[in-house]
Amino acid sequence: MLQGMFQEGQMIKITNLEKFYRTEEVETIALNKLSMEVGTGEFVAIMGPSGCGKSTLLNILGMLDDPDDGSYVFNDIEVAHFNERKRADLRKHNIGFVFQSFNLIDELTVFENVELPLIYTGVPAAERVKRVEEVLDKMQIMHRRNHYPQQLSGGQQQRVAIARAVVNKPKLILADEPTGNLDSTNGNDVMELLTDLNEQGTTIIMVTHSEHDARYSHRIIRLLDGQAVVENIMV
Amino acid sequence: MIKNYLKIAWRNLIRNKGFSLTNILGLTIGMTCSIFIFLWVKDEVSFDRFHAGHNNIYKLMANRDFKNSIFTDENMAFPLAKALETGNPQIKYAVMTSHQENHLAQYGNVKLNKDGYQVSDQFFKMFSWKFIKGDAKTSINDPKSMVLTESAARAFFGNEDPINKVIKIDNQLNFKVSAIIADPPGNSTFKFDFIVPFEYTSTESKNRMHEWSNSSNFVFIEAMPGVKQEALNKYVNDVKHQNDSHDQISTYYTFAMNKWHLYGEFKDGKNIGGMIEYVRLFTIVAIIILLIACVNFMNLSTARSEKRAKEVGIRKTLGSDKKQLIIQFFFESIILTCIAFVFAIMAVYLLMPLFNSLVSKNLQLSVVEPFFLTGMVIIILFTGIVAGSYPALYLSSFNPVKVLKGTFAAGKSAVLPRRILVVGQFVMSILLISATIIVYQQIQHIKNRNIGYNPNNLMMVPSSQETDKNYVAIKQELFNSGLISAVTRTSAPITEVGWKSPSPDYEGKPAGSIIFAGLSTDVDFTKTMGTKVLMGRDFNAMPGDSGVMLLNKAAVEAMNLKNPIGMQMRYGPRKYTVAGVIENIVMESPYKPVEPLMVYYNPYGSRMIDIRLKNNADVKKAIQVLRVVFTKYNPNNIFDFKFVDQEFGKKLITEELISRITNIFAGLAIFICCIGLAGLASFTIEKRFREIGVRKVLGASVQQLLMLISTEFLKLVMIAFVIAVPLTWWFMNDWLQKYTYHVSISIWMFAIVGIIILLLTLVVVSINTLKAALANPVKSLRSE
Ligand SMILES: Nc1ncnc2c1ncn2[C@@H]1O[C@H](COP(=O)(O)OP(=O)(O)OP(=O)(O)O)[C@@H](O)[C@H]1O
Ligand SMILES: [Mg+2]
Repeated sequence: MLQGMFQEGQMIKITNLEKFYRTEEVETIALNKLSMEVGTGEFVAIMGPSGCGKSTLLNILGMLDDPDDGSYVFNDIEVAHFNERKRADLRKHNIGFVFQSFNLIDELTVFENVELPLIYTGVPAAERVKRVEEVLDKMQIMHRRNHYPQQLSGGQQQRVAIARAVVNKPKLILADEPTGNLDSTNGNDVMELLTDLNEQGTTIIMVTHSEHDARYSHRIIRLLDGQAVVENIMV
Repeated sequence: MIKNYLKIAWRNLIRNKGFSLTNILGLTIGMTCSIFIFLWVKDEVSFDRFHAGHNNIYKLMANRDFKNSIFTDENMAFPLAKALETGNPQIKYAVMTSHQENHLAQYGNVKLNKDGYQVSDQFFKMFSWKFIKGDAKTSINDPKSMVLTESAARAFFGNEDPINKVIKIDNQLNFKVSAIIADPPGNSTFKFDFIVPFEYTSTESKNRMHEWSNSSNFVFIEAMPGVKQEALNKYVNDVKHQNDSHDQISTYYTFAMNKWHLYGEFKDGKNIGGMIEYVRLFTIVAIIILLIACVNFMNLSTARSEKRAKEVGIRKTLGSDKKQLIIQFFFESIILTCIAFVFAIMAVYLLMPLFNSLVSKNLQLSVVEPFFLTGMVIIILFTGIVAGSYPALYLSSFNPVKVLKGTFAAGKSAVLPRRILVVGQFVMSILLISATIIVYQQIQHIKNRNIGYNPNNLMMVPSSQETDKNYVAIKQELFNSGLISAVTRTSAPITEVGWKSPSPDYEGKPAGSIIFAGLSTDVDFTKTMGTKVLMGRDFNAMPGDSGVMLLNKAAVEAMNLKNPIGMQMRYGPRKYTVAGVIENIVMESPYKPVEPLMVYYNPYGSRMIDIRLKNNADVKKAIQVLRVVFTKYNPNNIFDFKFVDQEFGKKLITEELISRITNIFAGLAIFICCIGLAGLASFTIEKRFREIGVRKVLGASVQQLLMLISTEFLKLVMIAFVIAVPLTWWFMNDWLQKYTYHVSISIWMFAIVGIIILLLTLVVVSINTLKAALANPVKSLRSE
């Protein structure tokens, strides 16, 4: 078991985490007694073949899904058995998501998409405008604030998605193949953005298939059949 | 080709079970309602049409022009029919009948109270009754003959042959059964168990043949085909005035048989319609309900179509042209309609007994009748084409390039018509619900009107010669039971006006006469009825009572009397002193103002004994006591009794019926709306499933998600509400104007309807949304 490099504190500790998917015919073990830790401020990449449980792990870390067994301690709080409301509450104040397929809402403009998390955490309107503009500026997408997602390129859409993920200043960003739908130039831009965020103190856990992208991280966790097989520390 | 369309349509229905079931349910309910309404309407408009001469048969009516009102009178002078018949080739037949009267009829040990008419000799020639035994032409030639209905004959004679059997009426007159006819059908205005001829040979009848100024019988004429009604009216007026020059206030006219049932109401001497209003109303309601169900189909089809856009695109690239697509979608809607129609027919068969008891009719659905077959084709085509039109045109116009490139988004162009349709549906539903509530309120309002007496705990038993003879003993025994607080006798049931005539003469009476209702009673009239004496006194059993009269408040007002007590009144040959003024008693329509009434003291002219039970009296026990007492003192008649509150209730029967029917239909209309809404909500949610997931990941709570989806629909309902309120007000205010005593439409009622509809929408939409809102967002995001 390797420790994270930046020992400022421990953010995530999972122990013997298990997740099964049962369908009528088969039972899939998506996570098989997986244990790992992530320190505050780390940038971790998770890699592994398709179907090995990366997304499943990310969903559980993001409290979108609950494990079948095992423990998950987030910032010293055991959350494995939290009910839906408590998880949602913890999630909306601490975690931002970036998806491969962006998941922007088509009916809302760029500005409105980014504003959503602030609405749900009850930030007053004036403050919202300020913060959304700030983050759009940072993502260099300000000039597109009134466009709808369909009117943007993939790279621009992902920048909006990242803007939305960080607008609430989360402590942790979970990114599931954030460059998967992008060409290499746009992909590199996104990676630069994530690195910047990490340097400013945000913990990042990113699932990726690309060794190139993984090199932006501090540490790579390789999964196989729901278990961590290797961890590489990047220097 | 058609087979191919059918196959594809069928598969689509099977594949989209939720969609198909929602639509079939809505359409089935819609069509079931429509079929019931059309059966009801068909029965209503078919009244009296079974008489071969129905186009040329008329009832004679008179407008008698009194100072206070025009009295529309159906009663005609005794010799009129005979006089009309002779010497005018335009008149085929003229017939006089009595009012429908209830008589005691006896054969052997079987004693039954039966309804019958006395009729003049051409009765069976003018009206087409179905003879089962005996001959229409000769059946009433003998003045002592009687024609029985089939069911009456069975009641008296069982399986025996009824012909030539003798039935005794009212313990005194013997009639010989000469013929049997089928019972009058449900759509007959005449309703009876037996018919007996008028008797013209006695000296009394011969005298009546010269009595032109008393009117107490109905007269009907059948004209030769092609004779104009104006000509008939003029002829009747001429004959009457030639024979009775004193009759200055009456105008006579003919009332066509085809209008008897649907246009039976007169006000101020003018025909103001009647059931026809409800026939029209319910026809509209049937169409509205069917339209609401069609709108469901349109909305759900177009909503679903966005999922089918890709299919349309592919079909078009493969060479299908627009027309073929249109036909295909029409096939789907017509197949769905046919399936729903089959279910509707089954529902109609199953629910027929229930509906019949609801509308007190005996309707039947006969599938082989041409009326039904044409109706079926009309309903299916109407529904199928209306429902299929919009989806067919909308779907077939998709641009295949856009659809397949994935840039197709069903934009505003699709959403707006759908919203308009939903708003339309809700406008109609809100209108129906509000109308239902207003009808109900109006009935309650009438029920709560001060009717001038207390109909509760009040019983009536018909009088006879024996009850007249034994009245003192009967009264004593009734009081002895301890259950009864007062007893009186009246010349008519308190729920009817026995006779009407011009007002009595009095000093200072202005020219022109006022029409009065008349009633004669025994002592304790006001005590038994629970009527307030406003001035003076009631009859008090003093010998002088026979020279005394009571007036109601309306009479005092109509005669414009300052101090009526002690005034002298001359009525015919007799003189009366006004002893008291009583409250207005509602004896006729509870919807109309009470007319002037004069009450005399005359215990021997009674038709009813009125019995006031004590407030805490056990009703069953009271009936028992009455049965014992009347069987003892009135052994030759069947013990019969009525509760006055029930008799009074009959005056509200039509409105109560309308109220019940509108209740049910309004409920069903809103139900169909709701299943449509549920379907639409579930499509919306399906479309926004991913969005809901994203929002959840970003921290939206379940409540926030419910509100997000619901507001879209709540907005539409709100718009519908705003449109429906003035519409309802306009329609219903018009309806209420018909009634002299009516409620005013309150804003609160609308507020409550609004809240109920909004809550209903919220619940329906929330139930559908909840599943998506509670779903794990991981799933919705995966489904991308
Ligand atoms: N909802 C589900 N129902 C059934 N099985 C599932 C479900 N979600 C995931 N699985 C299974 O769990 C295993 C892990 O899936 P997961 O999505 O975590 O893989 P992954 O590592 O993210 O793969 P990829 O790189 O292709 O995204 C797979 O075998 C998958 O089939
Ligand atoms: Mg994955």
